[in-house]
Amino acid sequence: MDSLTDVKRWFSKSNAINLAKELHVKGKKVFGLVSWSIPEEIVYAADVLPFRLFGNSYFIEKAHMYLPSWCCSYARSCLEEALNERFKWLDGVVASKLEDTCIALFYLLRHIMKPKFTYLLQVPVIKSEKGKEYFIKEIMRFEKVMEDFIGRTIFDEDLRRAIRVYNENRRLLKMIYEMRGKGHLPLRSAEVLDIVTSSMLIPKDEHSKLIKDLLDSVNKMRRREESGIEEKVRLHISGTEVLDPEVLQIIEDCGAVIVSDDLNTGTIYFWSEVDEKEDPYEALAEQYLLRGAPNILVTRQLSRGVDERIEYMRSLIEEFNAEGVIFLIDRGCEVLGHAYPHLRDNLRKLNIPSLRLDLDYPISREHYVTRVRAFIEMVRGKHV
Amino acid sequence: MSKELKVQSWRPLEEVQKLFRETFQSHIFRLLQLREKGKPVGWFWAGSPVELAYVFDVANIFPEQYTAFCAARKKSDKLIDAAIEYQYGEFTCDYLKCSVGSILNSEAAPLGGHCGLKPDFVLDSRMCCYGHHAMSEIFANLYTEVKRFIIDAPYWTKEMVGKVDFLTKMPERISEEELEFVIAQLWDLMHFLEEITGEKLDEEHMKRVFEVSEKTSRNLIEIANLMLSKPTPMSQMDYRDFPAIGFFITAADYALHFTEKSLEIIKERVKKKEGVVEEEKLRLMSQGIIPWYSELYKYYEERGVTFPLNLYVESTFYLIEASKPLESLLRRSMLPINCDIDAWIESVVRRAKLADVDGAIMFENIGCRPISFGLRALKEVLWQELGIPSIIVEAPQCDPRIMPLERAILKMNAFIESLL
Amino acid sequence: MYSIGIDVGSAYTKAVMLAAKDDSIDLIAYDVVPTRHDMRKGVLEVFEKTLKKGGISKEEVKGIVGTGYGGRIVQLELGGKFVSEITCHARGARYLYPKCRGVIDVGGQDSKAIKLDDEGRVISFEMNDKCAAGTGRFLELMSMVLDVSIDKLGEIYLKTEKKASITNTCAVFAQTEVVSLISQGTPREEIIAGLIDAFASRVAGLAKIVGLTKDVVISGGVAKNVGFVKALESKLGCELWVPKEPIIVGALGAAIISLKY
Repeated sequence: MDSLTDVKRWFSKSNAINLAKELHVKGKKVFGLVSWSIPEEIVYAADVLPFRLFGNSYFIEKAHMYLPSWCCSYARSCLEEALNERFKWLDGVVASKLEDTCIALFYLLRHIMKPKFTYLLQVPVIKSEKGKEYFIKEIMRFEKVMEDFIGRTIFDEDLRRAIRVYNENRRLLKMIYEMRGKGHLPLRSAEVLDIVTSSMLIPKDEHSKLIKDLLDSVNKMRRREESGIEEKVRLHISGTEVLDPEVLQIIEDCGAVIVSDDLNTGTIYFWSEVDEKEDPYEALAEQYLLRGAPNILVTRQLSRGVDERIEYMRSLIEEFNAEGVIFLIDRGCEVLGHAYPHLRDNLRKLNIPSLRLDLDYPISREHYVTRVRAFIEMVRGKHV
Repeated sequence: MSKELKVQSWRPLEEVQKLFRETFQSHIFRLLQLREKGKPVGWFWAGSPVELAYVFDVANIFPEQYTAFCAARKKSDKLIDAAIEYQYGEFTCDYLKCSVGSILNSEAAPLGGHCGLKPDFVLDSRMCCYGHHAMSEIFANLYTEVKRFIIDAPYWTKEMVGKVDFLTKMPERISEEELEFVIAQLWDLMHFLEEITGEKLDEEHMKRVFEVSEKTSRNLIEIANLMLSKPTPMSQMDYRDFPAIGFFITAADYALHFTEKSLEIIKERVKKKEGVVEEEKLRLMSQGIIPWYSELYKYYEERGVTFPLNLYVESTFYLIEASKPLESLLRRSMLPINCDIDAWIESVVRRAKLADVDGAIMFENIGCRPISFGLRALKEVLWQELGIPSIIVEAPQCDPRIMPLERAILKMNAFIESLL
Repeated sequence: MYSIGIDVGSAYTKAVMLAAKDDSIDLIAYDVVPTRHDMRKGVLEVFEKTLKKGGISKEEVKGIVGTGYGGRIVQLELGGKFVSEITCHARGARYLYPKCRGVIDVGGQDSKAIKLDDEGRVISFEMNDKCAAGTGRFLELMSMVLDVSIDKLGEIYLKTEKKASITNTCAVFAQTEVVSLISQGTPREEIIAGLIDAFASRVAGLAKIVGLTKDVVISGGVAKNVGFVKALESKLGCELWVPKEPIIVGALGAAIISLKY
């Protein structure tokens, strides 16, 4: 067994990307995904690797040709990668119609990369039986288009197996979070973020193996002295795509420990499992539309999406004894640009203190430290 | 400028302006009458099934039109500030910031704020963009008692619709799954409207409503086609009133009347070969939501630069078919920002050729993603297909502070100079 | 016992020395020096000067707390603790005005609005962003553009009835607007009044977010600008409490906190 430091390295983004590229060289097809709201199981069942597209560089040069500077950094950095020909090796691009930025990015990637396969998945914005019925048909249509592309049939059993593999990975990721919450995981949250994001880049079964190895080596270690965690302020992080581990590092350096989140690169991605007993298409539609972690973009008829999200946040905050919430909001994020004031107001009603940090790249450390420290002092209510 | 553009006498269509004011008054009168009768007030978005407001006689408020009205009267900045103070994103749609501002700071808002009339229900629509859906969620949060009904449509890909005509929104086909999904929701919506109004759907009345809508919509299409004439018959300062008709009230008798009369006037002008200015020097295409506060169009028209093709205005026109009411409602979602560019680009190229334009001005509406994120790709296509250059001017549709007229002119002049 | 709080801001480094005896706390001395490029020098300078003014030796100081952007330099150079400026401003304001429920601090590099509960604990706060709008730097820039001494701005505001409309509070855009107003022949006084009004709006926005309605202390150098305070009061619809030395509120709070260490 390798040392913990080596194990941690496996989850780094660059390592995960290299692994995906190696598989591609060996003949595996790889599709770039532009959203977390795509039922990846379908792609996996087709023996294609779903590879979440992330930008690498926050120094945007070429993307300005297509996207203005007020566009979210996720889309701009993704496009920058595409313009730098770093996605050239991919066989396809799949996006979801939920967000306007995502749609725009999809068409720009199609225009620039001209991949062999493209698909814009029609995820409904409405949580309803009709929405689900339509979504099932849409998942099947997506499957059919993919079958035509790979030249073979995807059988129910392939899909069921994919669901099982994905569920196992979800359970393992959840275990990581639970251990962290209890102070039993000798990892910083920045490293935990790497574990989650790498799961979006490499085959889920291999990723699960890596997590198991990691857990093995953690268990073999002398029980970690749990010094510190009790003294630290326990925080929940809220936002959409948080990609830069440095932000989490800064927060924890200020004397906090991150215990839970509702990030698309966090619990939203893996918290609930797909029903393995149901018809697989129905189960996927259920999961990605109705039952899974509440997608802030998708709403039930005559009710509010924010209420569902707040309930989800509240339950995590309670489960992990978080004392406060930090919102990490990209200045160009349309989703939180709309939802934030209402999330904030609802947390206030629940007496949960929150802090908003604007994500702007490159990160300005001092800007965050001042606010986070003040917030931690506020949560502790010390010095009074 | 090396070749100076001399100021000429500018000839707006005052009669059309007068007609529009009357139309607007008729609309307000209708709202007041319906209110008196105790009918519910509904808020509707562009691209949503707006005819149903007339089918069910509900008071129809359009937050987008209200905020455009605020901006045109230079009353939008305080509303935008109120929304930003409340910490909505700086880069959200101006329509959101203004309409929410009219709720949060109603004292600073025209017509008593609250977009003119507080809603009894909000028709949440993802038939045009995500922003409308998100804004409806906000209204549901600010007015906790208000019912919010969601209607969803796909983003139309080429695979689903083939080609779509930019002006009429007529597709080659409509895929079965989508047709079924949207039509089923339209029925649900009608049931919801039955419930909220307490009245059953009157099919005869519905028929009449769609007949009016079809006639109005045909008039608008004819006007759009006449606009391509040489010289450009109408000023953009007049044409900019037409989206309010096309997007929202084609089903109203007063809208039909407005379009009939306007059409006559414009036809007459075209017949006489009379343009908005005596001597046309340049013809430009315009894209992006009109910055409602700006007099940029007027400034250039006075100098002989006319705008025969306004893609934004055309995107608000539809061919409504009285024989296919539900399909017509569904096609309201086929506006270009909700359709694959490959589906409609051909018809734009065709219209640009007909209009014989020399270049394009594109407004980057800061906060509007579907329009702004597509501009640069459109710019490339226009250059490749037509060899016409474009200029992008950052101009959110309601916030006059980002691009004051002087700065826009500074930027535009260099472009215009290169075309002369 | 004696304690010292040092607030290292972007423009000035401030120090306050307190003496605590039984239940009473007395302000012994304070000093303000410009923040140097080499922050350490400013910290040591203000420290020495304050000691000298108070007639106290280094050894007699039992507690030191550093705060502000360079607060950690204090910790490195002199030891003690580092506490965020939000907490320090709240603590300092509360000491001066035991009934205050809010603090607005307008510093050179940022401004903040802090809400306190009955006990004086921070319950929420907001800081402006990485831009000069709504910070002391904004007034500084504008006074340069208009060629008026920054100290005169407040009086001019009070004397001027008509205010030019400045729609932009972004420092860069506002500058463009000012230049265009000058070229249109708008009197300088009206432009100044308009600028202060726009600036106050921006700061009032922060205060509104956290919900400051009354019993609010204003701190930071800009609090000395009578025109700005007046404009802000009218935006918030409440009277603001202006300490005699608004610039040292943060350092004062730090010194109070340092009594604990």
